[in-house]
Formats: sequence, C-alpha cells, structure tokens
Amino acid sequence: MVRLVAVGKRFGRGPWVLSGVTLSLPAGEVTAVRGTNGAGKSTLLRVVAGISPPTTGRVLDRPRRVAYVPEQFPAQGGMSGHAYLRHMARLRGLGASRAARRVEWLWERFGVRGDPDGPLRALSKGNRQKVALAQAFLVPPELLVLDEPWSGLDAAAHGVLAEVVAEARQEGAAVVVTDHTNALAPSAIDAVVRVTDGQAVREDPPSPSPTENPAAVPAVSTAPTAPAVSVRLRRTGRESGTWESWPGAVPWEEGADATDGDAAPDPDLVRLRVSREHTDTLLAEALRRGWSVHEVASLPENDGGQP
Amino acid sequence: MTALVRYVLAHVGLSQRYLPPTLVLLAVLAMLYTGDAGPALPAYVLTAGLLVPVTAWFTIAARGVETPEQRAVTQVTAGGPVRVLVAETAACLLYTAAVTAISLLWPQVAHGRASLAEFGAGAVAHLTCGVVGVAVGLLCGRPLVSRVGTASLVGCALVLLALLGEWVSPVPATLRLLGTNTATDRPTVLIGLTVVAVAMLAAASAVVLVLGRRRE
Repeated sequence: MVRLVAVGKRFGRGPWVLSGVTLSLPAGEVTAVRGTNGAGKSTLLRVVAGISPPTTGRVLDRPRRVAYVPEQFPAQGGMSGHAYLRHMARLRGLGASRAARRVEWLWERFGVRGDPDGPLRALSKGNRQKVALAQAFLVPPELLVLDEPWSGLDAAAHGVLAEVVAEARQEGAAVVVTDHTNALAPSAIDAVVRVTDGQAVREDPPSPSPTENPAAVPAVSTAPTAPAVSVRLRRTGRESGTWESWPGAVPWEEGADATDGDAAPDPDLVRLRVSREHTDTLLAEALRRGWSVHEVASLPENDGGQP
Repeated sequence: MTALVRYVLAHVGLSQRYLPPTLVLLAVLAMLYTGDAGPALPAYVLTAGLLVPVTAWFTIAARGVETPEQRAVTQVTAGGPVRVLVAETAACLLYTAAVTAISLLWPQVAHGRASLAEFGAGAVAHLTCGVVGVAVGLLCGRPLVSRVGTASLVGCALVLLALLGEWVSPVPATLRLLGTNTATDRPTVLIGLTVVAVAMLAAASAVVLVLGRRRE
C-alpha cells in the first residue's frame, strides 16, 4: 500500500500546490482523483509516481514497478513508435524478442493507427496517447498512475483502457487516475479523492446503484432528467467484451424490462441504458467488437426507464 | 543500465543533433591535417581544446532530445533520476571516447607522426578536455537551463572559462603540456589533470541532480 504522509509541494518560492496531503493507495484498488483545473491533481500524481519529490512530508512503500502515463505525450526526434516502446520494454528488463512481441501486441490492442516505424512525433495526438498508455503496460505495473488518460482517445481505446485498468486492479496494482470528466464507470472505482486548493480529501466510494446518488456519478446518465437511449445488442457468436464499465452505459434494470412486452427475454440480447452523448461511441464500438445492433430506442426525458 | 544507455544513444542518434558538433570537429581536423601540422603533440592542442565545446554541445543535445513528458516516463520506467543521469553521462562519455579516437587516428592515418607514448599522452589529454566538456554540458542543459538561447550563452561562457580559467579547469594546464611538447615527460601530471576533470564531472552531476530535483 502506497502511503502519502503530510505531503506538501511548492515550486521554488511559489504558492503551495499541495499541503498536508495524507492518503493511502491500497493495492488492488482504483482511486479516482477529482478536482477542478489547477487544483493540483497532476502534481499529486507526479508526487505519487515519484517524478516530483515532495517539498515536505514523505511517500512511503512505493513499489518497484511503477507505470506513469502523462496527460499528453508530445515527442521530438526521429525515434519511431515501435522503437520507443521496444526501448521502454528493454528498460523494464524484457529480452529483445519478448519486448518486440509485447510491443506488437499492445500496439494492436490499443489500436494505434499510424506507421509503427515512422517517427513517434508524426503520430496524431490520440495515437501518441495510445503509445503512452501501451508503455505503461509493457510489464504488469504494481503502481499505475494515469493522468487524464482519456484525453484524445477514441471510443475503441476507451474500452481497452477500461479493460486494462480492470486487469491491473485484479492483479493487485494500486491504480491512481485523475478523472476530470468523470469518465470512469462507478463500478470501476474503489475510492474517490477530491483535490481542492491543495488539500486532498477522500470521499465516500461511489454508490453501486447510481440512481441513489446521482450527484456522485453525473457522467452515467441514469439521473432521471438526463436524455438517454435504450440500446439492445445481439450476440453474434464472435462478439467480445462486456458493457458494465463502459462510460455512460448501465445494464437495463430487470423490473423495467418485464413491462416491455418481452414475455421471454432473449438470452442473446443485451439491453443497455446509455446516456445520449455516449450512444454513438458505444454503437461504433459494439460493431467493432462484433456485436449486432438489435434495436435503438430513445427514451423520453424526465422518465425513469420506460421507452 | 545498458538498455538505458542504448536508449539515450539511439534517441540522440535518430534526432541527428549529434551532427553539428561532430561536423565542426571533422572540418577542423580536415583543415588542420591537410598540410604538414608539425610535431604530433603541439598539433593536438587545437583538437583537444576543441573537444570542450564539442562534447558540451553533444551533452546538451543528448539530454534535450526527450520532451519533459517523455523524460518523466523514462524516469519512472528506469527507476529514478539518478539512473537516468548516470546513463546519460555514460552515453556522453562514449561519444567523448569516439571523438577522441577520431582526433588521434586522423593525423595518424594522414601523417603517422606520433610515437606510442605521444599517442597515449594525446589520448589522455583529449579525454581530459572531453570530460570537462561533458561537465559543462550537464550544467547548461536541462533541467537547469531549458531555453536554447540561454543555454548557448551560458555554454559559451562556461566553455571559455574551462579553456582559459587556469585555476578552475584542468584544460589550460593540459593544453600547455601538449603545446610545450612535454606531455610525455610528465605522465603523472597529465593523468592527475584527468582525475581533476573526472572530479569536476562528478560535481557537475551532483549539482544537476540536486538543483534539477528541486524544479521537478
């Protein structure tokens, strides 16, 4: 368990960016760090990752294998994306052939588009961000620090990111992620830390039933007033992935389904309630993952669940 | 550590930022040894002195190829800033060894004047100057000086100080031993000056680590 004890941080004689931060980041838990722009989220993460030394206080029990993904990932020079990742894999102690295979696999998994042997700096922002993410998973991290990892990512990469974060959590990594836009599904979060004016306060973990506590999870639009869409996806036999942790989507509640006219619910159908702004990305991703779109119906506003 | 050194060298190699200092050195070697440059040791004065700005330039380039974001990732991946700095310094010392070899082999191939003792003394003198250059480069590169303009001004000042500052740098004494053709007679002094240069490099590294960490 990584522990921050009375951590304070200031740059030179500037104002205190963090002060008196005492936090525990248990292994196997995902901690979402929230706060307004400039509240000190990124600085907190850099201190956790060991990039910035704290001015006061200490960070204890940081594990050996730390992975860090910055908020953006500009590059210069002529090194290619593949070569960069291979070098990082060698730094992690992988042999040449294992490093090459692992890089190949992560490149595919994150769906990086662009010449793998062309300069890294020539890739688009989103694709560079995917390279930055791939870099963090070359070996299973024990402490995973992600700074706004969604910025610039497409829908497909959102899903992959949710998967790899869930995997890291399962393997016992302490995961810290800034979540400015509340893109994380509540089920993927174990704890929320809110940073305000350099103070970090642990909030109650998000409720498993989002409707009970709509203020804590505004991105998942199960609050009755948010426009939402009912999406039914059909299994095709070659589909992959689940939708529980997809941003803005929740499985349809059983009770609401019974009044829908489906006497015998088709086991091949999966019904989701998706907030309007996430529908397009979810459908695109569903098709990419091999699902078939069975039905899309808009739900009336100010209604809890009926189509 | 080998992987880290290889990464640093690959990065600077692909960025081609090593080319300007290397080309300057090659141009001077070409001009110097076109005609007969005379006895071996006095001819070394120019190239040994030139290694101070050449290796300083390379060091600034090598440590400036990464963006700050990449640098943060490298630091986390490599396991701390000390390891990164050690690897960067090792890469710069490899470059120093390479340009020393070029500076000595060029006249040897062109004229073949130097005896084995002169060749050895020349190698030690060039390494002394190159190591001082690396120390200068560490001090005026990132993270202490991040603007290119400031870096070149501070770099010029420190290079001049290293070349002319009799009491602060082992370079003037080394060049004098070469110029007066006495380097082979006083090997302990020559090697002592190399030790001073290595100590300067260690001190510069410590300054970069301590002051650099404060800015992170």
